[in-house]
Amino acid sequence: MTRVQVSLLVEAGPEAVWDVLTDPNYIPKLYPDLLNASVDPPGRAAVGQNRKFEARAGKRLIEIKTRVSEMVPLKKFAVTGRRGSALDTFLETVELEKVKGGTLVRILFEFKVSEAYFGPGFDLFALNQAAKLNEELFAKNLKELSELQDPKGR
Amino acid sequence: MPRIESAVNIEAPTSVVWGILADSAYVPKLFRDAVRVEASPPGRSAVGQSYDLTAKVGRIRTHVFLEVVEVEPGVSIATRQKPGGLFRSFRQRTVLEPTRLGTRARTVFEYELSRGYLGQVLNAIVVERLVKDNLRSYSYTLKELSELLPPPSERKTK
Repeated sequence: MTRVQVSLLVEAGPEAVWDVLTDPNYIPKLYPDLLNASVDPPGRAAVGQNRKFEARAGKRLIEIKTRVSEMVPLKKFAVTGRRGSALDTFLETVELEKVKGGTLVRILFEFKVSEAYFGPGFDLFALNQAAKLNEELFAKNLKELSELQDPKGR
Repeated sequence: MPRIESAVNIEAPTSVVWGILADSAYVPKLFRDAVRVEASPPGRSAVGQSYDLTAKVGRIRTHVFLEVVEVEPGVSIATRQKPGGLFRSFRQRTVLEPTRLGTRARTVFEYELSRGYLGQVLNAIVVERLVKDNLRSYSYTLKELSELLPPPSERKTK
């Protein structure tokens, strides 16, 4: 199992970070290799919401399935993997803490690429590294999207 | 009015290219600086469907409001500007044509930036360049996404 931990300061309030985290329309922009997202039930994140993604692994399409598992408004957001996708196990926990100058965001990812899903002929190490890179870039993109300002607010 | 026209040969069947074109969830991938899109009503593209598209210009959030005005499944799709947002006018039309090796996709963008919207906060020259870069890369991204190989699960069942 691969574990990625990232902490960063977002120069925006927890409300702005929470807005990005819980709006499924932002998902394809948060993870570089996720191409689209469908959620059930539709709309903003809620505990129990099922999420299905098409993503790319090199030049191949893959499927990832998750479920929103925990939400503490403006404080904690967690998603876990579901069976039958490219990741055997997946846990993503994002914790927010209001601090001077913005929001301290702590992100923890744990995942395992599914050997059974890919079958023989795939380089699991490369797949693992690609997944890890996506999780690291998730943090950078979350910061960038949360810090966007409206024209009128400038 | 600026006009950007591009055509690409895609090594994928028209049905695959259409699957991407008619799914608004792909819009943030097709346009580099689009960060979010909300289709109303949700679902596959249909005439009358509206897109509220959020894009970034540097650290500024901008909006583009579009309406689907033409859908001929597997053949063509067109959108045009609704009032408000970054553009004074905007029109996009993509036409697909089956070829021996896959699909030829031709896209035409015609647009005019809203000087009133830009004048408040943004540098018009910078925005013009960003818009052109986004529109020029659209066709190549469409090609790249369309040519992705099917998931391993589909390969196993064949």
